[in-house]
Amino acid sequence: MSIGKFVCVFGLLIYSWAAFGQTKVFNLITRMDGVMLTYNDDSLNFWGFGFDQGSASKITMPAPLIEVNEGDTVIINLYNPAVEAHTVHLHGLDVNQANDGVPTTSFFVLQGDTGTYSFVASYAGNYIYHCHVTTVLHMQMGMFGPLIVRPAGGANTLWTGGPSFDKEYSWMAYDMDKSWHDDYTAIGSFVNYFPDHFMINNTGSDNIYTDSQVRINGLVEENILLRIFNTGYGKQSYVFPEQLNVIALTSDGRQLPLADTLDTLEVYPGERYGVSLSGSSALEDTIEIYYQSLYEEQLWGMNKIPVSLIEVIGLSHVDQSGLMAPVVYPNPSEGSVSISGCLGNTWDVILSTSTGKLIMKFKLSSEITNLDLASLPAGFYLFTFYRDGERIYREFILD
Amino acid sequence: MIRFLISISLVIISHTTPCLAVDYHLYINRGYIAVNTLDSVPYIAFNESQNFSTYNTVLKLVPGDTLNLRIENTDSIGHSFMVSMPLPNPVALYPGIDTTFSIFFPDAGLYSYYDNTGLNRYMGLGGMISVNSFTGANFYWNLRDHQADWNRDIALGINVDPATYLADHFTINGHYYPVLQNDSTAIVNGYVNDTIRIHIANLGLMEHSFHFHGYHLRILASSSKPDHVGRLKDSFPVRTMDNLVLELVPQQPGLYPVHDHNLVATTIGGNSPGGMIMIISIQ
Repeated sequence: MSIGKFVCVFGLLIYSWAAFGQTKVFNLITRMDGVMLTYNDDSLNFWGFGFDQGSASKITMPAPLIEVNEGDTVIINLYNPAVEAHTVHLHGLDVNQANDGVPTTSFFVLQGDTGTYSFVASYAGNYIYHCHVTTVLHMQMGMFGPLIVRPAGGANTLWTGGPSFDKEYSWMAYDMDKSWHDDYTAIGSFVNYFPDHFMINNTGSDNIYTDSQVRINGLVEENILLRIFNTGYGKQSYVFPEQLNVIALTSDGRQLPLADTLDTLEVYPGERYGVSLSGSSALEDTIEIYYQSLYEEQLWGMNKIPVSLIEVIGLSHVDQSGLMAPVVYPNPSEGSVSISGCLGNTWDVILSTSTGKLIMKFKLSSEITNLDLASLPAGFYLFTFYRDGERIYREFILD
Repeated sequence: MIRFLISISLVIISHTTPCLAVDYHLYINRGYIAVNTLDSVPYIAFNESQNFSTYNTVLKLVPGDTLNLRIENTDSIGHSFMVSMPLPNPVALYPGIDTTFSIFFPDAGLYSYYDNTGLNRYMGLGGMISVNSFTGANFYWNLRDHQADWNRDIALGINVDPATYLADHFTINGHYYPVLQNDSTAIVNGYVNDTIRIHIANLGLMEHSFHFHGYHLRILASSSKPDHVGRLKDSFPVRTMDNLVLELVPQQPGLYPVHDHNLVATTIGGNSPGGMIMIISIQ
């Protein structure tokens, strides 16, 4: 075989491997003894799923992300050491009856047993996996998580051939009644549901402001994908800033027939959306989420999620490796400053005045670093980022 | 020759669009709906006979039909008849009196009819008018939520406070799961590759979010969100007074649940499972 033919055959093998999917195995474990601190430092009991890592297994609420590609054969082994039976329902994935995770029509995973679910991921999109045993209780207690199917080969698009994105965020939003978590045997009736905690992923309220997985930091003209999952029992109304261009592109794992430009998005229990966000000018604002009852839209609670779009003038914001270079925001600032985009690299950073006087020198490698510069006099400053001979400048105004 | 062609055309038109006057005779009946195996609460319904049924008659028409409706109010109090559209004003239905009137339905669609006085719609008085030429399998879901104590109080003429409403019973066609499984008008039953339509009217006080296991369905009509028509989804908001028509073309066989994903509505009297759940069957 000539080298040319060999390269062709090898290339085809690689292509078919990427295009037609792989077999991906996820080993999950259940526990009913989780304890976490909520955003207001309440101790919250929860049940959940985690990746099975033997004695190091840890459950989270929401459960860990399961991420696969279109065409993959997905195998989920659920080991259940917990005292009650559990299942995995693959919400929205249209699996066959045997793998649907509903005990009366498929099977229970009893204490000490391992149950196996398998399916082929047919459509890129946003999905949920959750327990379907006494669902009203088990889901409220935390037995749910996100499942994302990416296009074949893991393309950075919402669907095969769809628009690409510079970055993405996943918001799994839900309401909780803490009294159920304190002692579910004391609630008396499942209609006694009066939510008092309003979550996005595992946070809420003011803690969102420092959570880089939730708050949106981007650049002007970037395409940002927001994946939304409602795993609560009420309606969520997402109110977007006017300056943000918001387009709903997918829902429930399917492309919408018409892209829907919107300023408010209502998401009902069990629904998922894929939403494109972009801005043509710098922006410091919030997206508001209203958590509402399904009776007369009574307001239960709300969250505000900061959105920051930074305009970078005269400097390339993407380095040669494709990784984000540092950005400084807000700019101007009244004293509190964040630096993002350093994850995966270590930068030496110098902060100096506009006349070159050194103020501080430090190293950065985390996703977001917050600095308090309120003690400095108002004026122009310069951040200089050094790495492997590369040098990037960021001008900065302190009001 | 031209006369012949015109005659043939008229025959074809009259054959394909059989616009007719369609007569229905309804009765307003009082009775009870079961809220568990031991208990029941007062309910009112529009039925096709003087025997009470929780099933509000579905009035079936094709576009261009005129509905000739005769309603006997067998109740001791006055009621009314309202259609979400195209009847702009309610028709008064006096106790013990027959009332006859006609409504023209030029367009295909799903409409709700109901008594718009007081809480009579909440108490059960309301159903669907389905106007379409579809000849495949149709299923009908009339959604309602109830607080059992409210039904008892309202039937006795006692005022209730809307601010304290806490629904504890959730029904489709007046039935809760698992009793609902016996309702052949609601429980989808079909074959792979069938084209099936599900007609949903929410005549209750609460909104719902119906999730289908196993399948994605296309929205054919939505009174609250007409811009959502054409979307292919597995979870469907059903807003209060919403009329929704979904098309299911099952790609696989199986027994699959459909349920409200406000999971509190999958209970009955506070117990799980119950309420707004059903198991559909595709062979």
